[in-house]
Amino acid sequence: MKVVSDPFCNLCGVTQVQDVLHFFLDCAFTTDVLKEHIEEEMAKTYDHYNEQAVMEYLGEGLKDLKRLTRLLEMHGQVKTDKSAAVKEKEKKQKDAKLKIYREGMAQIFEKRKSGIKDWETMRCVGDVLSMNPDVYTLWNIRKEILLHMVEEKTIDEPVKVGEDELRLTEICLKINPKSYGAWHHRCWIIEHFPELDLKRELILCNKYLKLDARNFHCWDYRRFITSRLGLSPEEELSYTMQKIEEDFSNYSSWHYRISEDGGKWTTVNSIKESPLWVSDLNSNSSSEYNIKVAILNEVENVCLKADNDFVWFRKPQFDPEVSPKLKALLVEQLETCNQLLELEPESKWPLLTSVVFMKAIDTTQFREEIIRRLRCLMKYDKYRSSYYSDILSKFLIEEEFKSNELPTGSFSLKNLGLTSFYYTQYFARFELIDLSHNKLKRTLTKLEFAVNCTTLILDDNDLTSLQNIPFLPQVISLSVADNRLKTADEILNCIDKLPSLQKINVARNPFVEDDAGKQDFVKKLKTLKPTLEIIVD
Amino acid sequence: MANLVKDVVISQDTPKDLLLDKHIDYLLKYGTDTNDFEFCMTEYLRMSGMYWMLTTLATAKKLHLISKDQFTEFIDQCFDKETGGYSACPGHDPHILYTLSAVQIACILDSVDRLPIDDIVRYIAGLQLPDGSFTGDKWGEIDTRFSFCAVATLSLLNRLSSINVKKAVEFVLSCQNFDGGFGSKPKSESHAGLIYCCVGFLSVTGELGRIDADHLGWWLCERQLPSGGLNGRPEKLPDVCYSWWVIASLTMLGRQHWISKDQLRRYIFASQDCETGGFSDRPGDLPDPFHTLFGVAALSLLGESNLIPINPTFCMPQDVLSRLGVESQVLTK
Repeated sequence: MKVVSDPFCNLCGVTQVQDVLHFFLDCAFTTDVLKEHIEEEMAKTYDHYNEQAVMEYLGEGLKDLKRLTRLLEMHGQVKTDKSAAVKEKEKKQKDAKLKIYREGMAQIFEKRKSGIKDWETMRCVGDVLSMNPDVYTLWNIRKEILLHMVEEKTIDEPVKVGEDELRLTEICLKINPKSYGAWHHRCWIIEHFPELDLKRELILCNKYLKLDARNFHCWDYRRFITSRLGLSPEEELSYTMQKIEEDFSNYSSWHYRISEDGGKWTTVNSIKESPLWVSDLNSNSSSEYNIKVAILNEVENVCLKADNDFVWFRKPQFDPEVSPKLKALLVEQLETCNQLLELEPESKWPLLTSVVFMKAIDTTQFREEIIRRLRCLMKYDKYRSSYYSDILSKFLIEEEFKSNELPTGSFSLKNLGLTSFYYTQYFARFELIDLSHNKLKRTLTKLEFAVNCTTLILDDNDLTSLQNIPFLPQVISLSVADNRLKTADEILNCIDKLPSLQKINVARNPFVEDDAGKQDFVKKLKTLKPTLEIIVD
Repeated sequence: MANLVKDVVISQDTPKDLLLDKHIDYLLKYGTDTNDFEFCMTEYLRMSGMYWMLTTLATAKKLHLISKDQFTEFIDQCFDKETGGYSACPGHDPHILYTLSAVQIACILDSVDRLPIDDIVRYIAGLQLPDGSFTGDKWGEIDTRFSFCAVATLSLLNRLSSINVKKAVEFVLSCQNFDGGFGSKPKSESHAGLIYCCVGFLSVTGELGRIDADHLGWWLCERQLPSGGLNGRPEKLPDVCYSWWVIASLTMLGRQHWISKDQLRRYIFASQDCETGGFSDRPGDLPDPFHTLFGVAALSLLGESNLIPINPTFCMPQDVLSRLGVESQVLTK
């Protein structure tokens, strides 16, 4: 086989491709199967390898191979286990390699122990690294020796030394393009040998990225070089689309952090950053409290007053600001999506993209269409149907909160097909919360913010368990009718979390299907809470 | 024109259940031949390899099959008194990656009291830079993997307060990209392995509330391919180790249900080697202990009945963490 010699073959892994070729030749493949497997191997090893570029390098080699296979008349054979002879050959090769590795390592560690920091040691280290570039300790030893030489001023030609180091990392990256040790050593050399030509590094990056456009190590290295060259990535690349994307998809997430005011403040869910903080009031204090609220890094002075029930809320902001210019662009893009959807109505990406656009343009105008398209996505992109249903739930809840000023007193989210809760911190405002006729079985924990709720309705929600119901100190009346609760224990075990409970409705659940079940349940529950009003049908 | 999806096809004859006994045999056999080429050439990660093996065995309730002393003695041999860190194997240099593995091994074996805790804490704290980031060792490589290693190690030792957590959080958040994901450094491409490290970091430090879980959760659930397997970045092939990194991240974010668990299970089962035992990255490839742990761990998170529950943040059995009183944040579903 013709050996391809190219100054960049170290970087593109051509010799590795040849190894693969040899391997498959041993396995006795036909040319077509062979080519297919090479492609597969390359795809595995090199994420986005440029097939054309690699095949160009291979060129003559592949032709030779075709001739060879033809001579051997091997057609239509499927992959079989390696023959004993092949195995034996491989074993011998590996044993020989292992011997070299072990002897090399022993020699290097011996020299290190004796404090020998010379070029001979460097050569040994280089040899072993070119076999196994991931032995991080060996890269450390190289750096130790180089630092020593710099200190002793024994390096006469720093450019040559630096270039040799770079060349070694290239050889190693040929073996493992993702070797952390080799990439870091390259950076370290660039930092410690300022004489080196950075422009050459940039060219190498381009070359390498052409062969594997997805090697993130190489992209990181490229950023490292461009920043040393003083080039900003913006100068080179157009990030326009990325930025538009950032504008509308990076909804600012916001959360509350209230500075501790005498240590009285606690969060409902005991995490440091919580959307809801509560505190007991001192009975003898005034009708006003001044507190500091920090939201991310913005600090706001807030006055809690008796006539507001000592409650302060940050106004929710659901829709990101979209400039008229961007909006015009989005309208145009939406039209493109819609045209695509006319051709392929079940096509996922136009559906999803158009939903994002419509949300950014005008949620009121597109409300029904957004809902329809998210429901389509639930159907067409089955693996992620729960994602779409949760996002739809979020959208519907936002719409409820947006439709008027935040209501007080009672609040209903019934019959919306919700699978998840969002913005539950606002539940703290309501005394009656009606969540019936949804599918909220997964998310009961989030009700923890309903700290002022006295009446909670969870009818018809596919509930199979109440295990996750949080501590709800004010709830007087709970309704969990029309669910799928199978045992009385589901209720009995959560009674402690509802200390104010006076009335419970469990009608039309499997465990109260028959009279025996009902009687048994009432009896048990009455033992725990004699005064409780219990509705079983 | 439709884009071609890079994926694998799962053939009918691949395994449909967990071949747990085979995997145990595979692991117990692994490394018994000290002249095995692959085994010797991977000595630079031996400590992590031992953690992978031990965690798999613990998750399979088979810890009694190994000699505890063998592991604790190995840890002792790898301790570097001067720095306070652990190396991957005797004679090699200390590194934060293997320091975490060593501490994890000691935790699983209930031998934390044997550890030189003050030395380890000194080592980890000494690797933090003024911007909050961590280097992997004294040679200065910076990576969000090391941020995770630092807080995970300290949290397991109940010494999280020994570093500047606020700065560490700032650095990790500075590595978040426009797509919601995280890379190894600021501006580095989002990658599921590094997302696991950063989400895990925020879970250990209790700061998961700082990220938009819907945004990141979407990127993560898009990693599932028609085969059911998960890839680590867009347009890449599926891989069993990403089953763990993606599903663990989604679990911490309270969004495990955003992918098809049945399909993922099918893919992981198909990546088992029915002959030798062990899991490979993809169906039909050679197995290794690394993919074996992440296959088993992902199945545990998916609720596999023969396995004990695994903690999504630490990738260690939950009962170990409960015993140590180590907590990590998981967002509410």
